Amino acid sequence: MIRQPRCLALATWVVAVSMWPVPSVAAQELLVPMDLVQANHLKSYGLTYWTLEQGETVEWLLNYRGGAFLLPDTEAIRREAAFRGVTIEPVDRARVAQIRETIARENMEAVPLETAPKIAIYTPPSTAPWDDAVTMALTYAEIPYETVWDPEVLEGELYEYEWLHLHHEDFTGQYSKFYLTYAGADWLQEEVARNRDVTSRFDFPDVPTLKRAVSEEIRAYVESGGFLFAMCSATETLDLALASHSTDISASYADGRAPDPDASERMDWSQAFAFTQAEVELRPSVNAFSDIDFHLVNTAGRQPLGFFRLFDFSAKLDPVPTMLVQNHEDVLTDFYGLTTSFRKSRLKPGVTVLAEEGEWAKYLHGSLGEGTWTFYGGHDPEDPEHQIGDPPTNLDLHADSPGYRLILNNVLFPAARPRPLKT
Amino acid sequence: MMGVRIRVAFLTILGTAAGFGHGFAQTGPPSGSDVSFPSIEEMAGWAEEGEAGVERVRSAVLARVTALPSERATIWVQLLSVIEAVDPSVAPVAIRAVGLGIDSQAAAGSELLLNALQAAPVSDRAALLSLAAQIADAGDSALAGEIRDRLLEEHPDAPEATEARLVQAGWYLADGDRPDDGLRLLEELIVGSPQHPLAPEARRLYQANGGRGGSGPGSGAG
Repeated sequence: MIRQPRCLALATWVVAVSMWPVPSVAAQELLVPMDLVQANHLKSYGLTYWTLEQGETVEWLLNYRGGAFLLPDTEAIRREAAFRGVTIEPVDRARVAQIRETIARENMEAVPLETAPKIAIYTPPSTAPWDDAVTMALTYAEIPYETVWDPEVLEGELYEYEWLHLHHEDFTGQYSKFYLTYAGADWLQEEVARNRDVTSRFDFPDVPTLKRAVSEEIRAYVESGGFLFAMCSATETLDLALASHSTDISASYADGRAPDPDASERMDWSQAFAFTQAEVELRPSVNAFSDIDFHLVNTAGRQPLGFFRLFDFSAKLDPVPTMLVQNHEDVLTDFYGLTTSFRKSRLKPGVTVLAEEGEWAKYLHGSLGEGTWTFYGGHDPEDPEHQIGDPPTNLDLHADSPGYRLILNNVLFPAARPRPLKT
Repeated sequence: MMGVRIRVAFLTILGTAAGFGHGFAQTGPPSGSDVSFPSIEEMAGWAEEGEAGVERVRSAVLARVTALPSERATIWVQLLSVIEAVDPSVAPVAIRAVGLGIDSQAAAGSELLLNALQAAPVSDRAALLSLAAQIADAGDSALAGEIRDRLLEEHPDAPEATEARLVQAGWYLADGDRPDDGLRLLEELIVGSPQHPLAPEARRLYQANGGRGGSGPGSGAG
C-alpha cells in the first residue's frame, strides 16, 4: 500500500489560518454561543458539523463566549438548529464587526472550519458489556461515523478517514486484564473468541502480536497525516504495545508464554506516542498495565477522584491546543477509567498537557509525523465510577457536559485543517 | 402572567403524559371536605362587577388552588390565565364555562365559550378557544380537537397556539390516524418557537414518532 501524506504539515496550516481572509459578510450570520446561554452544547457541535457537510464554511471563535461558532444565516441552518435544540443568535453585519474587534483585541481567534472530517471509531463488532463515550457523544450530537476494527485496520482502510477514535481497547492483547477476574463471563469468552478468530485469519501467532500489528498500523496512519483521539485504556495500552515490539509484556494466558521479567528495561519508547520510561505491570492478577496511570482504579493502590483544570493557551499563537480546550467551564470533575490519568513523570518531552490534576495529567496532545494525537484519560465524563454492565449515560440529561465537550472539540479540530493534497 | 402561563403549559404536559387532555373531569367538583371554593355563580357575579371583581375571583382561586392535586388544579390555573388575559367583560362567561366543565357538562361549558366568541374582542378569542378546548377535552376529545383546529387556523400566531400545537399533535399521534398532521404541527412548534419551554417536549415527541428518521436519542449515526 502506498502511503502518502494527506495533509499539510501543521505549521503550514497555522500559517494558512493566519492568512485566512475575513469572509465577505452576508446580511446576517448566526452565532452559536457556547457559554452558559447555550441550551445544548453537545448538539451545537453536530449542528456545526452538519453545516460543514452542506458545503458551508464555519468559523470557530476560540475563547469567545465559550468557543462560539459563527454560521451562515440560512433557513436550513435555522431549521436544523431548532430541531436539535441549539441556541442561535442572529447577528448583523455591525455586530459581527464588533465581535471581530473583540477577538482581535483579546486572547481569542477566529478559525475557519472548512470540511467535515470523515470519522472512524475503532470498535469490535459487538461491544457488550461496554459503552463508549465517543460513540455516545457522536450519536447524541448526530455526527455520522463509521466503525472499523482489526481487519479493517490491517487491510489499510484507516486511510479513508481523517479522524480515528480508540476507546477502551487493550492493545497489549490481554483483554483489559479481566481474563482472570471475569473468567467464565459470556462477554469475555466472546471477546477472546473474536480476537482469536482475527488472529488466525490474519495468520498471527497470538492476540498480543495481532494487537501490536494493529497498533503499528495506527501509528503509521497518524504519521501520514491522520488524527488520532484515544480515551481510557486505549491511550496507555497503545503506547505499551508500540514500545514492546521487541519484548513480551503479555500474561501467559494471552500468548502462552510468560512475559519477559525484564520487559520494562527492554521497552523501546521511541515508538510510543506520549509516554516513556514506564514500569510495566506484569502480574496477570493485577488489573493495571503499567505505572503510567496514577489512579489505578481496579487495584489496591486506587486513588480518589478530584478535579482537573484545563489550561489556558494563547489563541493566536497556539490555536490547536486552544481549540481542544474550548469549554464553558475550566475545572471539571474527574472520572475513572481503566486508565484514568497520566503521571507527568512518564510523559515524553514535547507532549502538550491540556489539562492536569496536581501531579498527573488528564488530557494530552502531540504530533507525530504529519498527524496529531490526543489522549483523554477516563471512561465516561458523566459517569465517574462507571462499572461494567452499567447502563449507558443518557446524554439528554447532560447536554451541557463540559467533559463530553472535550471529546467533540477533537471531532471538529480536523475540520480546521486544509483539504488533503492530491499527490 | 408569564409564570401562570408557563405553569399551565407544565400542567398540560403532566396531563398529556397520562393521555392527552382529560385534565379534570374525572376529579369532580372542587367541593366537599378537601378544598372549598366559592360557588361558580358567586364568582361569576363578582366578575360581572368589573376589574375589581375579577381580581377578587383571582385571589379566591389562588388561595385555594395550591391545595389541589395537579390534575384538579389544571383547569383553575387555566381559568386564572384566561381571566388575567382577557377583557373583564369576558371573565364571567369563562368562569361559568369552567363551572359547567367541573360539573361534568364539558360540552355545554365549551359551547358557552364558543357562543361568546363573536362578542369578545378579537385579541381575547384565542384564549377563550384554548379554554374551550380544555373544557371539552374532559368529555369529548373530538370536539376539543375541532376547537384546537379552529384556534390554530384562526389565530396561528397567538401565544395559546404554541401549546395548542403540542396538544393537538399529541392527539393526532395518539389517535394514530393523522400522524403526518401531528408531525407537521410539532415541526411548526419546533421551528417557529425553538426557545419555547414546550419545544423540548415537542422535539422528544417528534423524534419518538419517527420525525427526521428518529426513534429516540441514540439513532441516526453509525
